[in-house]
Amino acid sequence: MIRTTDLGVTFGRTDVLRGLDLNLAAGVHGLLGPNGAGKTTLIRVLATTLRHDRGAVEVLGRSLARAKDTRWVRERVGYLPQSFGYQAGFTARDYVAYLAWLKKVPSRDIPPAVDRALERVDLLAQADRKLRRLSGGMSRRVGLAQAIVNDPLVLLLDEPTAGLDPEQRVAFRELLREIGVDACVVVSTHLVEDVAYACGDVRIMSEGRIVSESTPQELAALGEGSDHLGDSVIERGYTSALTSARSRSAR
Amino acid sequence: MTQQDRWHADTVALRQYATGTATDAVGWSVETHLTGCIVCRARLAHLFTDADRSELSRLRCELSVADGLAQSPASPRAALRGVLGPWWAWIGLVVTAFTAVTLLGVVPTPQSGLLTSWAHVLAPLVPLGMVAVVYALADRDPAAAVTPRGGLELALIRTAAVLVVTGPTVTAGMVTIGGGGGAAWLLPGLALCAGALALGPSVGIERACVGLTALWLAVVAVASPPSGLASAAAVIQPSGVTNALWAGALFAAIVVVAAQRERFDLPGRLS
Repeated sequence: MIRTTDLGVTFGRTDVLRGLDLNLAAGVHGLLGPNGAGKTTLIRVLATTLRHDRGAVEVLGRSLARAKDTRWVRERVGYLPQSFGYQAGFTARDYVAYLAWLKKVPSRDIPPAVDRALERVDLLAQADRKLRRLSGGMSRRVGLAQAIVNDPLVLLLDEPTAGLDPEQRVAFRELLREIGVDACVVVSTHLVEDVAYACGDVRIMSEGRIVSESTPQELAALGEGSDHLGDSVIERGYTSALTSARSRSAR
Repeated sequence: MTQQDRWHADTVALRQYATGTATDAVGWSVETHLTGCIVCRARLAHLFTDADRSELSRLRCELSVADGLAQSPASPRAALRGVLGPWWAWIGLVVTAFTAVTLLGVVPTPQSGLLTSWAHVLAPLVPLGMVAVVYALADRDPAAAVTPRGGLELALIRTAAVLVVTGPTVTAGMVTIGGGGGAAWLLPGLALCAGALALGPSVGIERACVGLTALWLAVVAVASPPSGLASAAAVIQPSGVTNALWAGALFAAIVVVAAQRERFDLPGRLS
């Protein structure tokens, strides 16, 4: 459902993405990596907010080089950016309804679609509260509600669990698995546990490349008996995979 | 058992299941298999057409309503609010625009005689400024920017709304101060707005508004004493020649917007 070939993005003189190949089907896919690895840039390219410099990107079989195809893709994509801006005075329900309208959800379907999205992120009871009065975790969930309000086929989430408490994280992972049954969900995170419990596979990014591709179980196996840094086996697996990728590229 | 070594439902059976044409035995078999096989669930998802999807969305919505959701439905007001910003800002802008025009009408212009009145030379900036304010109040949202309506459609709706509101307001102000040329400001005003839209995909609409305003003010400054450049004054003051000039500029800007309309809906490099 997502395919990139030799994808490259350059900011000024820095190569942020360097020849990235990706082929993702339905399911929940994790993107792990240190800060500056290019996770956010990759998500932004896939979300059609950032133009790439080299290579090709196909989302749902359409190239992002033509406006007509981009609009088509945009109707079918959900995107949770790292931070979202909203108008002062917007309630959670107003904000999600506005985004639903922008995404061309038929106006008759907007009210139930909005409430359903808010219910799925467990915010229906707070739907009429002003966004600026919601806690960090709550406004993160409003962001998620707008991302799923159009029942997207591709859901792109940039650090979705930032600010969520442990209980909300568990509910959130459950929701991801549910959506991942027939949609392609890409989760960029630096929290290894998110990946361990919600994702079917994990790609580790470093310096603009994907340096490892495995299942969470394989990552955990890598961490067994490893003396790398980390509080859990999967964290140790992650640091171990990252370290060996770095030493490979140094050679 | 892993995903690889198990059997998968064949495509014909899956398609029959998706379209509701499978026999009971095949349907049950496929359904039982689907509960345990993520591969076939994904294959099934691909067999759905867009029409099936919108039917599914509609059914989900109906079920939500039946579940008692959407009791206090989000109204179209939310969309309008999102597109245009809060209503009080518009009231404020209208009052400010009218007051500014009428006050500028009574401020004496420099004695050079090149400028008729401050109101006449500054009125065309009102719609441009209002577009900038609407954009500044409304959006800083990357999620809204990547929606099918977030590009040209949003820009056109906002600009049209600004023109509908500022047109009568500024004209009323000009008529109030008298001195003729009630609607003469409109042509350069429209040209400047269209210019901002034309520059939008390259530099962003807000920045285009600010840039064009600065350019216009620079011309006003050059036309005022001490330099009092007559050619600069001629550009910003309404006359038969400048009207033709601004009509041409308006037409050119519209052509540019139409020519690059696709760029509004493509991924950009502006943050």
